[in-house]
Amino acid sequence: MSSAKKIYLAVAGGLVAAGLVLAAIGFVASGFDLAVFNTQIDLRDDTVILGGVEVDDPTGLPLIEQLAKVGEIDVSAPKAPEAPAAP
Amino acid sequence: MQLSKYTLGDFFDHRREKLWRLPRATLDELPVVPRAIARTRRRSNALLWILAIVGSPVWIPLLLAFVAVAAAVYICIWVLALCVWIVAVALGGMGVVELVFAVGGVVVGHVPYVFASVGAGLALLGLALLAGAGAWAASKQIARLSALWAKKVVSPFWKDRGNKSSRSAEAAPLAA
Repeated sequence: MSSAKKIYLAVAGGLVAAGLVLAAIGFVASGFDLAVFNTQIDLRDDTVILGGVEVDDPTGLPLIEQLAKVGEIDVSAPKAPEAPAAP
Repeated sequence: MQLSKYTLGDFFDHRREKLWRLPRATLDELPVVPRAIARTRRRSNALLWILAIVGSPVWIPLLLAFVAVAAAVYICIWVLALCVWIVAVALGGMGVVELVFAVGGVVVGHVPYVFASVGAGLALLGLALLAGAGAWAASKQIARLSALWAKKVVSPFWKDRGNKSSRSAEAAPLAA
């Protein structure tokens, strides 16, 4: 195995290990609340919940602000028109 | 005499030497389709063309089906490699989005969420790098596999006998 590949795998493994440690710290700091891993952006009623905490104004939050501005997208099929009245 | 350089088209080319007049033992070394053509042509040139024209409703669809199946298997092999790359890129994209969400956590001031998001983002980026390494290795193996498949597909028409060492070298990593 070449040294470049060893470095690449070491960086990848280090990132995974550091990520798991940080995530565990966050989980412990939240009081073992699984909601800390949750990000919820509900466009129906414009609620943004980060880690179990509701954000009143998403202004200034990168990406979340843009998503919140999208608004509700109606993907349901259009209703059929009313049948004409019989003469 | 080296037959490996001759292809199916050579048997219809009158400007080349007449392979259909070769001894029977030499003909047996040819691939299946050129051998059948050469044997028929040894009997009669007209017979070959009559069989080719009369049998065309059979052999043309069969040839098309053969080409379609060969192309489909080739595409499937490379779609497999593409899927592994898509998984790697998706993991990397998720990691980047998690890091962006972590910035949102900093703005809000939710420290545990920042730690959790940064951790998830870094872990996903690390997994993406590992998946990328796996995808690269898989792509190299799939490239060898597709080359073997291409040789298998053309084997009824063309025999590559002058390159046995490279073929065994290609097959060795797959066998391992």
